[in-house]
Amino acid sequence: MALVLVRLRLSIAARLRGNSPGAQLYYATSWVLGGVGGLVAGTGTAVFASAKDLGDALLLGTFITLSLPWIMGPLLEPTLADGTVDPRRLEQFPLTTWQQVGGLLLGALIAPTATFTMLFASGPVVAVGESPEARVAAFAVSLVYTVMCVATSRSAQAVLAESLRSRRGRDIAALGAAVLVLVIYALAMHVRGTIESLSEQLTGPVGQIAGWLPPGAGARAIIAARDGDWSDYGARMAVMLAMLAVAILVWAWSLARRVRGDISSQGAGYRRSVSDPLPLVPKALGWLPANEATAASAQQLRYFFFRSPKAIQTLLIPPVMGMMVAHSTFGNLGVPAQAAAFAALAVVVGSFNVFGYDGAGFRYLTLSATSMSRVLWGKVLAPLLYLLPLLAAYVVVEALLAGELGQAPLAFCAGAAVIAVGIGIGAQSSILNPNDQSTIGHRQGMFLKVLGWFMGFFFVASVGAGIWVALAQAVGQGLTAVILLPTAIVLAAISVAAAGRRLERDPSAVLARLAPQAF
Amino acid sequence: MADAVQAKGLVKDFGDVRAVDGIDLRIPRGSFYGIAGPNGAGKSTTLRMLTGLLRPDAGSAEVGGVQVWPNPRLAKSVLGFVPDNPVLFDRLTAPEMLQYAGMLHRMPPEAIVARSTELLRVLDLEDSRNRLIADFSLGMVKRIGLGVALLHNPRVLVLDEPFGALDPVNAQVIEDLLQRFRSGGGTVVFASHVMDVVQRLCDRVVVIASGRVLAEGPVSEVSGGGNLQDAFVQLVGGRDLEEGELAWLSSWSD
Repeated sequence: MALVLVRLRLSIAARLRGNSPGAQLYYATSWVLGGVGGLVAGTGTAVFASAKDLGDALLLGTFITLSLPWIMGPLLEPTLADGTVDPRRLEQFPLTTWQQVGGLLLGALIAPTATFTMLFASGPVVAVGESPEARVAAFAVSLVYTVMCVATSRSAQAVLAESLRSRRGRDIAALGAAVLVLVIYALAMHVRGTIESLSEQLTGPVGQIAGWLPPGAGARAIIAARDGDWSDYGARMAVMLAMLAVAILVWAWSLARRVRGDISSQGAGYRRSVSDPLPLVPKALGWLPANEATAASAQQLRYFFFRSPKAIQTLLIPPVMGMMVAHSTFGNLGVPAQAAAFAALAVVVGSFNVFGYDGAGFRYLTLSATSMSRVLWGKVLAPLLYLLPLLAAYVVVEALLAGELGQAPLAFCAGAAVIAVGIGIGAQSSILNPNDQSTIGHRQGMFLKVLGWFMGFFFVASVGAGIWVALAQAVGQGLTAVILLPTAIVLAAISVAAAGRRLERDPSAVLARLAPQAF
Repeated sequence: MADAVQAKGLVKDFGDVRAVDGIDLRIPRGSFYGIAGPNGAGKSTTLRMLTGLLRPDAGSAEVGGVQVWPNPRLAKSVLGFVPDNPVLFDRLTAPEMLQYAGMLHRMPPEAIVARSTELLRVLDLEDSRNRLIADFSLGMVKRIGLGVALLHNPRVLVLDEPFGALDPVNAQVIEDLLQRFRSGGGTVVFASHVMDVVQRLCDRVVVIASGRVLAEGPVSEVSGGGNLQDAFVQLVGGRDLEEGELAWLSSWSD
């Protein structure tokens, strides 16, 4: 029965993107990348295993790092889009829970990601100067480590699956993912620095604790086998095997729980008690004209503030990361540079896919008799309502910390100019590269396109920064701000208007990307 | 009587497949008009071309005196469309969605308040006014979809399978609402597989198969004075199980 499920999983994975030659090429390429990438990573772990001290610390660090995507995956992208067999579809067949778990686990192991992990963890098997026993022991570790990563990830997915089928569950998962990303990012910022300090941290108390966590125990077990400390090897392996057993038990429990109906996803959901007969437009925007742009802005802001989990992620992650990066990396370049860096990172996500928080909703817009360009204006301007106050607050804090409060107006102008450029380019990206963030799965291949737009914007922002510096040397900072901020706003307006005309001309092109099922 | 909807020689190809193959329609103003056909007959494609959502490859469509192509926006302002599975901004509440729709139609705020309040009451959604549409059942989504389509008081209302997923009580309310809309001069066009609903509600019906009109006229005429379901099966061709097929279905031994 397990082999039947494995064959089913391979068929699903192979046809995930269709039967076209391009889809097959993508599928084959993902295996090649998994294999080649795994070999490269495995070479690295082989070198780490051979080099003691710093090598040990790096081996520990990489084993922990590689386990993070497996743990975070179900939270960040709770999807079956990688070709996993949906357990719900197996319910109708006469399979025991253990048959389902066994088949699903075996199927999940036959994947490019699992191959990469296995090859990565197997590196120490071929490390220079190892004894035959240590090589066998390292192979056992790599096997258990890989199965543990896959089982933990799939188990977490199964546990989350029921709640993720409800809107509330998905919202909580998305918020959890946002917090997790920020925590990991903050930790990474904390431990970043020289390799020596990393080594110190991983060989100190932090490393001691990490070495007993399941992924770290894998690295430590390899090191123990290399050093002939077999009792330590056994203890670390026991930690990993215990984790694997827990993951499988939890997986089986979650499958059985569904059959018992013990699901807790039937929550009351979001409720907003309002008596306002016109509840869409927030009171603070009541002064705006009652037109399509205001309606679109209000809708977008509702989504940003506690309606759409993806929009909330946009609201939380980029500005916080922007503050961290701008403060730590651009601190010695002055407050205007910090403000520009913060603005670039804060604007980039929320303005580059403005229809993506509710792809299906775009279909309604095409049904209505509305002016799509006005809707676009409303949506692209909505983020200004939180970005500009955030920028002002950030600028004041950084200026106070630097003791250069006089720089604050200049810094605000620099940041606002970057935000304007971001909104202009974001409008084009929203029309030319839209993708629906409200549904899960089927977004493979989007990452590079999205990254391309981001990089394009960062390049333009860099050019703008260069012009700012050059102009400031010639005419002074104040006049530079007076020239460049309006210029950026005008260029942004031209870009948004052009995107609006394009959208007005052919909304179906955007609809086809956002809601292909409509065609 | 003037026509509310006219289609002349509508054609639409999807790659090598001709989904709609020269459909002509004349739907009188103030009528209740049914569009029937088997799965894949071209009903939804026809509706999408009539409502300005899909540009025909050939032919023309006119709704409420407006040429849909090249004026889809103008046409959309005089019609309301409720798809089979209405797509709305599902992270808004029903009153917010109605206000959004009203503002997109540039309606005055007072009219939005008055009409949306009444629509929520009539559509039995008042108790759910604080919930997100994402948490609605399909029947509730259909009702708010109808509310959104009616808010701007269109001249023509186009519905795709309007009664699917509705409980009998709400189906009756929607029927009454549509009859009231029609008695006020509005035209209702709906596509459905459910022949007894078409027979009960519609004045006229068109039967479409393979993208072509097989029959069109008053319901009594198309049904030949009998059951529309039988007439429909006869028109599109029925399928009967052969003797002996699936015989194993009753062959268990214990």
